[in-house]
Amino acid sequence: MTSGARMLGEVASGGHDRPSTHRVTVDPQRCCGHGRCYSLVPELFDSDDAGYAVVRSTEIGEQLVQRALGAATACPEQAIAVTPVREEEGRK
Amino acid sequence: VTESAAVFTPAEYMPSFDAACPQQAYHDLVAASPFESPEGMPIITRMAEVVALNRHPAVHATDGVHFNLGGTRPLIPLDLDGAEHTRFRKLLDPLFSPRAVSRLSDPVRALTNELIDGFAGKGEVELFEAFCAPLPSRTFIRLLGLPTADLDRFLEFKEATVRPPGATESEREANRRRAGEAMYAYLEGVLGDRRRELPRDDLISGFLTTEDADAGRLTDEEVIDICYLLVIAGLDTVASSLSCLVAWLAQHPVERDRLVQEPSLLPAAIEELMRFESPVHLGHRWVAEDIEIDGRRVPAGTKVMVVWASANLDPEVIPEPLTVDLGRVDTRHVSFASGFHRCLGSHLARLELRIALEELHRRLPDYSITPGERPSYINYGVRAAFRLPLSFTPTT
Repeated sequence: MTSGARMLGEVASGGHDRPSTHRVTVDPQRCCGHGRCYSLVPELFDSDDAGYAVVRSTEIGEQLVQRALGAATACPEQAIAVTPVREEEGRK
Repeated sequence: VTESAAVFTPAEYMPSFDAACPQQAYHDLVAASPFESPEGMPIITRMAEVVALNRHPAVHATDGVHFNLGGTRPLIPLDLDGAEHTRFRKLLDPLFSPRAVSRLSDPVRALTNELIDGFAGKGEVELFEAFCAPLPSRTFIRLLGLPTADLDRFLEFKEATVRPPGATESEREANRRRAGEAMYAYLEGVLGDRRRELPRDDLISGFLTTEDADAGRLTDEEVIDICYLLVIAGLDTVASSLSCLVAWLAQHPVERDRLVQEPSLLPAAIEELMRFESPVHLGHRWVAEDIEIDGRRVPAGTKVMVVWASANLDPEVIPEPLTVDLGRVDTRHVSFASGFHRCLGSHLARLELRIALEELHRRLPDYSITPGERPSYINYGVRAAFRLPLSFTPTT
């Protein structure tokens, strides 16, 4: 891909005092810069200089989950994964 | 050897085809998958197949000999593949990112209002000629840095390449080529002049002076091949899209009122209407190796038609695809294509569509189709409501 999406880790997680329940990732190999995610949920996704997706906060609380899933549905490349944290840990 | 009758869209193969409302036919094409044209060309319509094909490394934009839109050389970046394509996208993507195009908000809004001033007091207008066509053309000419006085020449050129006249494909291709040759000659002249001048704040100067570590300097020929495509893309697609969106809203006053009351719903509504209208309805791809896409085998050397307009109505992805729901926030669509060749200008298109609708809704909130009239649609090249007679309460 011309300019890979990258994750900034726990940047601007909004100082949420509620616990994180889900993990959000963007697959940089799949992102093609449609920009649907950062226009739908700008608190969670941002654009890099070339217009490709960047995750602002990889860990999110319950209040953002529905909208994160909406962004994942809207992504034409299906590059966004929203996974419950507990389920992931259970697998380890 | 006779060529088969002209079919402007594969939706015409479906008995349900209706030029004003082709969505049922595009939807039926998905149900008919796997489907081939009478000439044996695979027609790819399911969203899963379309998206997989568009990001497959063995699927190319051209056969390497025939180029799109009357080009005698590959159009940049549309007709390129692999590393060469990536080199140009690296250079061009930042120039067309949402952040970069947002600098155009104020000039686009000013231009929008200037055009509305021209007919707001009259109470009726043929919106395509008065608004949908000139707004993107003038925006784009300004962005690129080409002389506004030459606008008619560009409009003639893009019409001849997007919708060439001719009874057969070879006649149409000859007309496309003729227009293309004239455009190459014109752009060579422009670049010659611009090389002798000081750089200005526009894209042509940007192309001429850019020096990227990866991309390197662009040759004159490369700049011409970029501009050739940009002129067509910038002049036709947004004009057509805007006409389709306004025509739909003019025929659906309840939904129009909702957007007039709540302009913040516009971005999501634009995505949903772009999904439903799919103004650029399809593209072509060349398969360079034997591949299997979503369980369907496609042999090397096959030219396939990829129908964005059908994928956008695939019930596997979109619940109730034939219903326009402006409250749908998670609309998935490929109206700007997908994969490697995702439309470079998509963010500029969205900006222009949003500002145009914001200002129309603010100034002429009760627009509707003029009583006794109806919009005329064309589905050749890019779908457009090329005649859009509107009435509204006159204002100043």
